[in-house]
Amino acid sequence: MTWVPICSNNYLSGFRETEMMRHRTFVPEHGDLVHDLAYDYYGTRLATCSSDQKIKVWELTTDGPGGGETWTLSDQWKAHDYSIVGVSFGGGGGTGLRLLASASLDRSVKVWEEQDHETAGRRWKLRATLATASGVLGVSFAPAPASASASASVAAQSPGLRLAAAAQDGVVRVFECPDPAAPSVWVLQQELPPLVPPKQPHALALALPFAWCPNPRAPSSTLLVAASHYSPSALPLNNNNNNNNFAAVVRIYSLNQVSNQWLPVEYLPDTDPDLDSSSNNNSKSNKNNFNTAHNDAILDVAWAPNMGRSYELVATASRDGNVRIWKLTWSSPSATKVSSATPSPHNDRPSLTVAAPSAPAIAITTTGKWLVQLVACFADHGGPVARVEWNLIGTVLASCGAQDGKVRLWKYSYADSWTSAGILNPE
Amino acid sequence: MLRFYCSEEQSKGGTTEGFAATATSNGGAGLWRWQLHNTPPVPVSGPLARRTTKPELSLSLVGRFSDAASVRCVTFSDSTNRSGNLRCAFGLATGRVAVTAIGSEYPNIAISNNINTSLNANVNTANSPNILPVVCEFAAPGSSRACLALAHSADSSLLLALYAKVRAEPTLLVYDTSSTSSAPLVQLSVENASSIAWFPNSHKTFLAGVSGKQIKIFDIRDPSTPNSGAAIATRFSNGVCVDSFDDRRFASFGIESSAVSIWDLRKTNDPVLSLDIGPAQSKSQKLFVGSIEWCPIHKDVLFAGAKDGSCAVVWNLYSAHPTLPNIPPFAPSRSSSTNSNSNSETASSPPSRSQLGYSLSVFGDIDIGTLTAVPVLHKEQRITFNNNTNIITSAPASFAYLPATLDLIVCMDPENGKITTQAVNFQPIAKWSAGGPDLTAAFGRSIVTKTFAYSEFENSDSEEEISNIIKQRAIDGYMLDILIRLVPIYFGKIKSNIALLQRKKYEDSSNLLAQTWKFLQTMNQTSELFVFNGKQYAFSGIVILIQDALADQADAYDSQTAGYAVGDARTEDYTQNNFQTNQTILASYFSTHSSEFRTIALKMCNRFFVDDFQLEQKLTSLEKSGDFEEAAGFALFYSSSLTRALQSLNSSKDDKLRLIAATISSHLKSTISPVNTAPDTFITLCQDLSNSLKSPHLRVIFTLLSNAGSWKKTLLTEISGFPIADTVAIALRYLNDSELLEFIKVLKTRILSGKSGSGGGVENLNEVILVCGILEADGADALQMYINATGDFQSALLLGLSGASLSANVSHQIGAVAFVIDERVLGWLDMYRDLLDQWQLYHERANLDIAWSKITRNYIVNVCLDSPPTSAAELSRVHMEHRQQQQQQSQIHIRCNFCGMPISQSNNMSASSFSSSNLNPYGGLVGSIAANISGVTPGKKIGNISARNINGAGIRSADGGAPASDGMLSLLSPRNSKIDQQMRDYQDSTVGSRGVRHVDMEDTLCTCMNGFRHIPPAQFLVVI
Repeated sequence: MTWVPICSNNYLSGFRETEMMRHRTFVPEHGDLVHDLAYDYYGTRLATCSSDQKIKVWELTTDGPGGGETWTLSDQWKAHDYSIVGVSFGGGGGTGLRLLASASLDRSVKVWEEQDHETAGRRWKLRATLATASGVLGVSFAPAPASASASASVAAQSPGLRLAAAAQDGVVRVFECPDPAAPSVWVLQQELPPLVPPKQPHALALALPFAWCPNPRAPSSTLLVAASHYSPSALPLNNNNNNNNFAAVVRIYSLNQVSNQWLPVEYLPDTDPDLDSSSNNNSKSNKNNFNTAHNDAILDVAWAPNMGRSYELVATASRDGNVRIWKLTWSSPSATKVSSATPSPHNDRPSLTVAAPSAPAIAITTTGKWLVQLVACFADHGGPVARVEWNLIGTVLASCGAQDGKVRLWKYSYADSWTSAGILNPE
Repeated sequence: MLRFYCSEEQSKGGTTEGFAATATSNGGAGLWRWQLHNTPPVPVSGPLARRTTKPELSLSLVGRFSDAASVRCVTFSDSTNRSGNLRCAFGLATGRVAVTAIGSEYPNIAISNNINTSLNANVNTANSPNILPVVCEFAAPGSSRACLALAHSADSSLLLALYAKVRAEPTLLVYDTSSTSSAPLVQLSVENASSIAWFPNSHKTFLAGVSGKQIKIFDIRDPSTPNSGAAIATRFSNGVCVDSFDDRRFASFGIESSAVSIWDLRKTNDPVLSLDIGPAQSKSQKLFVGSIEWCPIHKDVLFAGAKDGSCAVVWNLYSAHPTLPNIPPFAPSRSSSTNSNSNSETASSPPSRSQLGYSLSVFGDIDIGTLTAVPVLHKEQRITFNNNTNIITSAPASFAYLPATLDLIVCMDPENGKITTQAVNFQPIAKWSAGGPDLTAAFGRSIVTKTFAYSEFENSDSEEEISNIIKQRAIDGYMLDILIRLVPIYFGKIKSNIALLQRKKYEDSSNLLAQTWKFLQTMNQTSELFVFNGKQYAFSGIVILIQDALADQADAYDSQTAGYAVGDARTEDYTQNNFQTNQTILASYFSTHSSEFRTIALKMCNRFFVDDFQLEQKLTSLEKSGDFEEAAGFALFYSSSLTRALQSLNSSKDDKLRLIAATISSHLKSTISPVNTAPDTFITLCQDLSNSLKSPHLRVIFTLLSNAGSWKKTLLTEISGFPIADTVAIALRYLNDSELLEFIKVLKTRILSGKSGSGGGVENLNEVILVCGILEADGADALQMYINATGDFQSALLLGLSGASLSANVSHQIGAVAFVIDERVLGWLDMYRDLLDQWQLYHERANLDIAWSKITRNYIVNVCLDSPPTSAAELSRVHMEHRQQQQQQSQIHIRCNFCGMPISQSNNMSASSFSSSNLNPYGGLVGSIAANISGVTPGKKIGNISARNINGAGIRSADGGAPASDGMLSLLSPRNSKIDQQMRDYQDSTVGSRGVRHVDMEDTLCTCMNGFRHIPPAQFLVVI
């Protein structure tokens, strides 16, 4: 297996650039910067939010010039008392729900539901306000459960609606709506604390990324990814006085069906970051030279939708300038070992094993384990990578560079390699 | 000195424009008009049009300031005054402050609309014929001293001037620009003041930074007694500037420092945030802040320019509210109690939440505005300017922030006036659309959507993205079309997939996929050849066949050369051949095995030759098409005849091949037993050739020769490009039973490892299926491997379903009961259905469901009734699946007996709400009254959930034309339990049968709003 690092600046080299490829720009006329946007389940609506405290919902219409598709404003309203930094559509699909969650630095998450008819000029009605202790940095609905025909093979219980919100105090909170018919009632299911609490509890400036696993058929029930930053100084193992003064891991949480608690089951990278950084220094000769550790804060994580692959993919965006793609292979104890022919980035590591910090002491009632491999690492952005986002079937990854201001696409192609699939520029 | 002025963004046609004032130490001072082109003036068209535009700033000189040489500072008035004139004040080294104006009242300055000055030129005002008119002038009374800074108050009525300290003269003077008097309104004496800034919202207060010591706040609401208010002791007192979005927040920096401080008026002890423009590029030089400014249009954006002009840093801040020590107590949500009457009882707080020590409700009565927000650094962007940083200037480089669709930072060299621009890159936020290959990204305030639509391109180098292919194929009708002989309507439709893949070349592998489909078709059409021991092996794979055969009757079929004498016959045919002796030895050495299952397997591989005549035909055809290597391989593999192989090579025109043939033949002549006692040199030669030759068939031959004629060793050597069918066929011919069993397992592992080149991989999917089958775990593994390699789960799913269906069908013909399908394939089916729904390809989804249900139904009906089940467990499983599926897809309609319209089961049973728009094109099933009975468990009260689902489904069917719920039907709320019960009864009674039934509904009385009459009873229309 070869994973090709990409150094291509070709403008959309992968996608065929034709007249078919439309490039539309519209200005949502927010009073300030747009902080987040979200598509709905079908991709026919777009929600935008901004520092101007407004949410705008757009609908894709085909009455544009030349019959082209354009975004038409469907509704807009002042939703919060401070900058809105995150929106997420919920429901959709078979659920029949049309929900929207918004996260604001005014320390609240609000859940909105669309009405069939406008009341007082508004289609979206406030259903619930979920207060948090500090400003909310992001919100995301859990993906809709698998369709009914599949649910027989998955867990029988219907989880209701869930959403997660990351706040400036470093805590990711999972809220649950027990009765989706009444989306005004939300219960805090759990708080996922940070590995190391931020020094100033109110001042978590970095993003606190998290992502739901979008695959209802993934093994070991539903999964959630959350990234935690910490500096090695907070750890007992701190022998590196190099520039790696910051390291971060992603934790994968799994919902324990018995205790109904989210418990961390795996880490990315899957060993202690200190070991990783030291091993990197020692293995300069490594041809791939994958930087398996996040040398700086993780700014975003994304779990790829899995359409039939036998493994899962998780992408991370780091402030150290790298987009990383992790391959997670579920191995049940009875299953045969994964073929040793695949080169593992962990091969060069010293055999010293140190328990990951605050490793879960509770045994997870799952019958398998994730094997974690770093399969791709791209440094093309040349600066912090702010966001990663998978396409619908998990074959193209879009990464957003904070420094170069570009969206780069990475495409899964034949022969197990990832190639650059293009660049999206603002103009 | 560079100042930009842009009032409201004067955007028209992608161009932003405004005015700019410049003052350089040698180039004089002037007023400019600037334009920023965001989009190309002429849209570029054509298939390969690329937008290469970078926002381009252009300047044109409006006029120069007459007293240019000594201008020290420039400022615009913050708003154009009532007459639409723009004022610009110049502060001179002499202490003179001149306010110039342009606009309608000053027609002697023509403002050209044609801006053609290239930005690359330095800002040189000397050549301008136009001299800016001075509308009013102020001069500091007393000693002559340089004016260092100017600032207009928010309403432009006051002009604050900062003067150099000379003797005891006042340094801060406030002029009234509206008065005719040039005397200052206020005079203040502040030692070493270095910077000034008005508070934008309180007109008569301003800040003054005192160099290295403090920042003072002045209040001149009463000009006679100017109030020097609070002073903040800090050495970061340069460049004070107030956030125009937050009057209480301002920023400053220190002399010879890289740090920037942000202050809050309510908390002046310490800066609320300290920022740093960071280390310089070269270590020898430290980077100092030269200027800072708040972004005029974006909240919480501050930028700082380096003094040497080498870089600028843009900071995005977040405002964070401090964590409250006391969480507000839980209170019932105001919003939830007001908006939802049905949920009022559930909106009250569950007590369990307090155990979490956490409030989930709204902020009780806490007003968020009263909390002091703390700015937190969110993003930092460093913009490097390629200026010549060697210039050592006393004056710092000037920076300005140009807001546009794409924001720019403009930098001017204070010495020569050279202007450079760099775009501010907003961190994009990209999201994929679920509905199509759209990627939408927000850049700052604009949003770009790019559609990566599928395009059929001839000879394109690039590969199409698989998700596009999948969607396009679904639209084009790539579906579950299989050859079920029991359903004539579907007969031969497998050809449509093949035709589709051949007609539209979706990707390079389209042809390979078509071959795989053809393979399925062939296996199906010739399935009677593959029956062994009463079991159908057409789709089970050779591995299963061999395992079954050898497990049942070990070695019973193993009889060497019996009944299979293609090679032996050849020996006689060629008795006159020169190599007769060798030939005989070879033929006997390569002893063949033959048995019934081997024959069947050879037939599956399409490598079975009845007699020499048939083989000779094949060889001749290969030779005719120029495949001499392959012909040689075939001759050796399937007739054990080296002689014939050499003949094939000799007949080629290629000297190399003939040379090879000559080598072998001369070698064979010289030795009696060629393969056993071959000299080392020959073996080495063979090894070399086996590694270096291109043709896989020749390589196999030489591998065989180098391995002393051992087929077993030869087969275990992986030879890339050698067809799996041949590998299997050779094993079937030359390996004994135990070797064969062992080898076939090795081969399976090798194939499923997915390494291309070793015979497995994407390019040979049909051969993988040949070996592994398509039904059971091995088959699913093969398909899984294909998905892992290509992501094309659509083809894998359709192949898997087709294979299983075809297998069930052909098995049924020989009386066997086996509907074998791997669970993974069914999982892919669910995924694919969900995906089609998400793409709103309901028609395609429905077609898939129909095809799949017809297959399973046929299978069930026929097997259940015609033949006794052999495996009870298996049958029951399939039966359950079938039943489950059928329940999902059964539809029950209620329609009016009078008008024939479907009846809404709304509260009043009104039919009036139905119009033709509610009818769905697939037979009027949807949007109205189809009932999913399987979703309603008996005895369960229908609650809010289903009611809500119905609403949702109804809406989607209205605008999407099809439901998104399961099957091809939407839901309804059976509020009438009696109707509900009746529907359920009919549902149960009709399982297993097909057709449309009309059933009268009992005990119901409906009103037909179309006919305005009561009609008993309503009617079921059951479609199964």
